[in-house]
Amino acid sequence: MNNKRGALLHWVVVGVFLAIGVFLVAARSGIRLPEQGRWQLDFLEQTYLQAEKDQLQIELAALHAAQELVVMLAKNGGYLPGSASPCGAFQGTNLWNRQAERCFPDAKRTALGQMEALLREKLPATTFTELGFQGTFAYGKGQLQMITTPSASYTYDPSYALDIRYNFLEYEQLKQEAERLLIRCGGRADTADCIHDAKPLTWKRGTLCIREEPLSAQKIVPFCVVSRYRPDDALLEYHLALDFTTAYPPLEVVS
Amino acid sequence: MYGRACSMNSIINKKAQTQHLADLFLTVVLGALVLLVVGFMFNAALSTRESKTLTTTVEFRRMDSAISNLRSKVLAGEDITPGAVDSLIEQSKVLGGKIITTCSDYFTAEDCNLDAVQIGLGSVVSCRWEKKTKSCTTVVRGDLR
Repeated sequence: MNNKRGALLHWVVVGVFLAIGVFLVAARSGIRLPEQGRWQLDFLEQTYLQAEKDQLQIELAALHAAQELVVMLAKNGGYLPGSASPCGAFQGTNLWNRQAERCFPDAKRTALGQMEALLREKLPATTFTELGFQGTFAYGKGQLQMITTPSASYTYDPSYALDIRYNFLEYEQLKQEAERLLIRCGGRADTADCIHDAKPLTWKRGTLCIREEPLSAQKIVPFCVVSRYRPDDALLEYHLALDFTTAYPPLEVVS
Repeated sequence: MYGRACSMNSIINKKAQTQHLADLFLTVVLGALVLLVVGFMFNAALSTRESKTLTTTVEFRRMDSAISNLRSKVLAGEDITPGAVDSLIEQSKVLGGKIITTCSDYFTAEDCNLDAVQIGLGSVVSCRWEKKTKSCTTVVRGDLR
């Protein structure tokens, strides 16, 4: 009688093939292995990338707010729209003096206050503890922000420092030029000729910088001054008016 | 006699297990084939997983570079519309190791004029190389004077 133990090996092989066949039928779409580094990539996408995007949006909002502010202030002679100079206005242009009284704007301080309001409107979820303008840069120090996902949390700093391509020191230059013009031409009979000769080249009589108004005898004169800065690539114009009615005493220097 | 029968049975049992060399050979070959098939299936799954991971990693790097590129433009004072940020990130592509988001990112005249990564595809803008400034600028189609 033949020994049947030898057949066991054959049946094992048949069994293995059967098992493979069952496996192939059950896993019709093939073997699926989980992606390597899935958690890490998800973490980076949901937290790090999101933080980068948020920081970009913050910087964009701050840049646009600063540029809008600069243009807005320049258009209104250093004052906010809707708020008039203490010396009043002439034909819609804010006056920088009323006879001998000076009403030069503190544009930088006004800008800081308004910047805070603008950022609160554009970025309600972000709190800034310190805002400022230094040179041509606008900066803001923000409170740390947190992004939370079911499996992780990520903290980032929303502070910004941006080149707004404008320097508020230009207002100091404008004030000096206005002061010089008032001292030289205030209270004179030939005010118009004096202004024509003494005004800086960038100062144009009237409300349009591209076309100067003809000489006239009026003592309150609106000016349009072209800035050397272009924060939003467009021409920046200051609109202000000066009162030459009376002689204009220079400021006393107290040592 | 009993002892003789026992030894004969032992000889027969051992012979039944590996009666033919062919059986052994067949078993080994079939075993190897089975391993090959299983190995192939797992290798295919592994390389799919690897390429998926690589694709996701490359995509992450692309987006990270695009965002960094946009941030450096903003820090330099360049104007970008907040609403266009997502579409700018989506359209960004890598060329020669450098991320290209807008026309100004091209660094050769050839790539610029051809719009090598087709960032202007489907939009009204195209790229043009300025010889004077040696830079690539964005032009609106129909205004190529």
